[in-house]
Amino acid sequence: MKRRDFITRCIIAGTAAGMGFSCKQVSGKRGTGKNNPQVQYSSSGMKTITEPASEIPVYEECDVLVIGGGPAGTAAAISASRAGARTCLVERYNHLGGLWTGGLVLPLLSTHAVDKRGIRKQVIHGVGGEMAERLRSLGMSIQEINPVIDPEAAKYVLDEMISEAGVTLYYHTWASNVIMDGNTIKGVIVDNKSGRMALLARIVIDCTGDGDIFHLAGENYDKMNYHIGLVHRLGNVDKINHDIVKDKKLNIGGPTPISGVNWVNMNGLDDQDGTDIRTLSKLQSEYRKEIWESVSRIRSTPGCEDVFLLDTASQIGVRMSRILEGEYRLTLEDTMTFKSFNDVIGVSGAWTTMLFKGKKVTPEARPLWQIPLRSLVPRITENLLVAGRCFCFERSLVEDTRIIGTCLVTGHGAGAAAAVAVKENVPARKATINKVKKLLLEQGAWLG
Amino acid sequence: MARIGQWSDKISIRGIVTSITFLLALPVNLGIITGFALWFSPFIILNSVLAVRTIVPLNIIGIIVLIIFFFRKRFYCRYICPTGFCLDNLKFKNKADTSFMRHFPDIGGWLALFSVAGAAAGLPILILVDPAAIFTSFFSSFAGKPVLVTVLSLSFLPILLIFNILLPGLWCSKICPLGGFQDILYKVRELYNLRRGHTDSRPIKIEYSPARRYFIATGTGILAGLIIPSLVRGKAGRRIRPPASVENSKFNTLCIRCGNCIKACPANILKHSSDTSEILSWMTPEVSFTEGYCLESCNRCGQVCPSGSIQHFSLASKSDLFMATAIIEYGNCLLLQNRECDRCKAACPYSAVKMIPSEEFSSVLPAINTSKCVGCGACAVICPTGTIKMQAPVLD
Repeated sequence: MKRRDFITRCIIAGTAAGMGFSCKQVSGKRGTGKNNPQVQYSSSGMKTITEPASEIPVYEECDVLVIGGGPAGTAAAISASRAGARTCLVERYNHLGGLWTGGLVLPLLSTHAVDKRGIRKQVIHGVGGEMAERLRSLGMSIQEINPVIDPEAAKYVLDEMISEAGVTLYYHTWASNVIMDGNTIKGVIVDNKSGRMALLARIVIDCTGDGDIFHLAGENYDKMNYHIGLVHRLGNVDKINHDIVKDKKLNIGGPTPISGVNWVNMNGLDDQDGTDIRTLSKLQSEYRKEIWESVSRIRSTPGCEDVFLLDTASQIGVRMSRILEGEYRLTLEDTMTFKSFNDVIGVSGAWTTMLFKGKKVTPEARPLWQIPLRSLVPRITENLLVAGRCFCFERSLVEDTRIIGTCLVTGHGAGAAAAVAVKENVPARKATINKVKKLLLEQGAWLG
Repeated sequence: MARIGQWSDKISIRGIVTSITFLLALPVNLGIITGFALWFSPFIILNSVLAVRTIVPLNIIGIIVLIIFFFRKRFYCRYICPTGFCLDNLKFKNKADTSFMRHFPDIGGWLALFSVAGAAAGLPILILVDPAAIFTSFFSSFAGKPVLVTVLSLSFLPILLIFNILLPGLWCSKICPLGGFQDILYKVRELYNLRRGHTDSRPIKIEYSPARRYFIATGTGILAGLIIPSLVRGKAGRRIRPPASVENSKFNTLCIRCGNCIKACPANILKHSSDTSEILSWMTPEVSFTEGYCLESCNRCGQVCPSGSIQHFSLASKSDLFMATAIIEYGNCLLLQNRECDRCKAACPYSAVKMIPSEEFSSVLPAINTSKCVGCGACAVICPTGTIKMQAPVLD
């Protein structure tokens, strides 16, 4: 070997070795980087990763933080903010009203019930009643009892009311974890386009419907599988030629305030888990297909050619999932016997037939029922209130507790209780009930 | 003091017992003590125990009274009988001393034996004319809507009262099977005493030996008990009976129409049967699912039935006690119109209603699991559109 060859090979080898070392350094850096997850296996055998500890910016500090902008959350935020609490509202979609608007569950049910004298009257007032009233004055509500509203009008009205009340609203934001100090909730970690952020609050109101917040906070709950459906709307139903169609049964649903537009409910499959993402994803596409086929059948029926699928709901219709184990479990007997609670925060009505002690009670004869603040208060977590369909009640009551009207009532009650607790500087469960009731009455609520 | 003495003379034990019986017989739900006085009638209890061949704890009352009959002459008539009290206090003459009355045979004992023997053969033919049953059923007739059948049945006690005004004392002394029954038992005791050589201070003359007539009564009773059911069998139609009811042919005779079950039912689903095509079933309890359903947590009708027509049953056995079948005719089902409803499924206490995906239709529809359905009627009652109906079983 010549010297030149030797030198050349040395240089090549050296370069190669150097490159190798530098490569190793790079890969080493990547492997031990503090932002990268390590794969492990949990005790249940499931493949898991550990999320590294990270610093999360505190984006906002407020008095009352409402998670979920459905009927309950919107009512809660409006009530708390009007009472003077600095209030934030977090909503995962791009609209308020939840299943009422985005879920196209358009009827505001249980507005009426029978009082002790046997007279059927309106029982839902307060913030919820105001929403219904505004929609009526816009001409976007039909029927006196259990009105059916227009979803876009409701989205607009709710937006207006939220901004009038001065609530800080976060759309497109998903609550992903709770911030706890022992048993006390201090705030919620949320994710959105701006990244992950912490929202700190004196009191958090869980209006997620599925009880995501109390689930994360470690509360006990009952989990109920139920029907999940997907509502859709049809356009041009006024162009159906009834002379041709005659008595043929068409699945065209019921009228909405917009002429020619109908909303079509779907009961969907029973016994479905509304907190299981595979279920939700599978049902979503299956249902959309079903709706498309159903509308195609209608369009191919002579006389119905002009009917078209206006939209499917942007939110899948989970009717029931987690039910809180709160300080008081509301029972069917309470709702059937005019049970009166000292800590009443609202009254709701009835829309469907129930059986009580072996006897049938029709909606026209069903009594109004009070909801106590205790059934919105979790047993363990401090400074957390729960409103909407996941507060504490017996399973036999789900038909009455999961509907829009009751959600509006529990939301208003929780918002007022939170505002009072903030003002008094006491834990949420210690809010002076007489002050809460006084505030609710000032805000137009009716407590029976 | 003298006044109190006068008062206490006027108050008889039977008067007090009758008032209590009256209160218990009123057409209101008194829970387990509804119509409780009926348990004191040994005639009902003996007929029922022999016919159904089961004995329930409350029967002990009737059996104790029955034993007393051996030692105290006409004990029931003297201290308990409410019908007797009414008859005695509503007559103008003390006793009609006509030759007709004197020559009228003592048929009470025969009737009693006839009925008890029939009961032993399966059919308690005359259980219905027990005085306690007559008294109680008069008041319980008011428990339902007045229809021709109830009015007719209602008139049983008034007719007896009028009959008694015309012929005072005839019913009590000679016709009433419970009265005759007591006489027979007391006579047995007397015969026993005579044979043992015991003599009463008041010697009793036995004028004739009734054994032969009683034998004939017993024999015809057994024959009737065996033959009548096969005669009435063919006529029975469809009818929903309370749970744990005995078979229809027996039910119509065994049931004393006291209305205890109708009054005690918390769900108000029992009605007096008034099917004009079948006279035998008049006034027996029949289930009608208009107001309510048969509660899964209730066995009251079985507890209050003194005749054993509705047998005593436990709550645990309710899921096996078949009453009817739920039938779904989907035409008006709200789910066919995609309206919000799951009432039948939510109402069913036995999880017999399931929502199954419909193939031709983009929704689910309810279906009944007939092996779980007992026919309690909860789904039929709650259904807002009358889509579910309860079909009565064909009775034998």
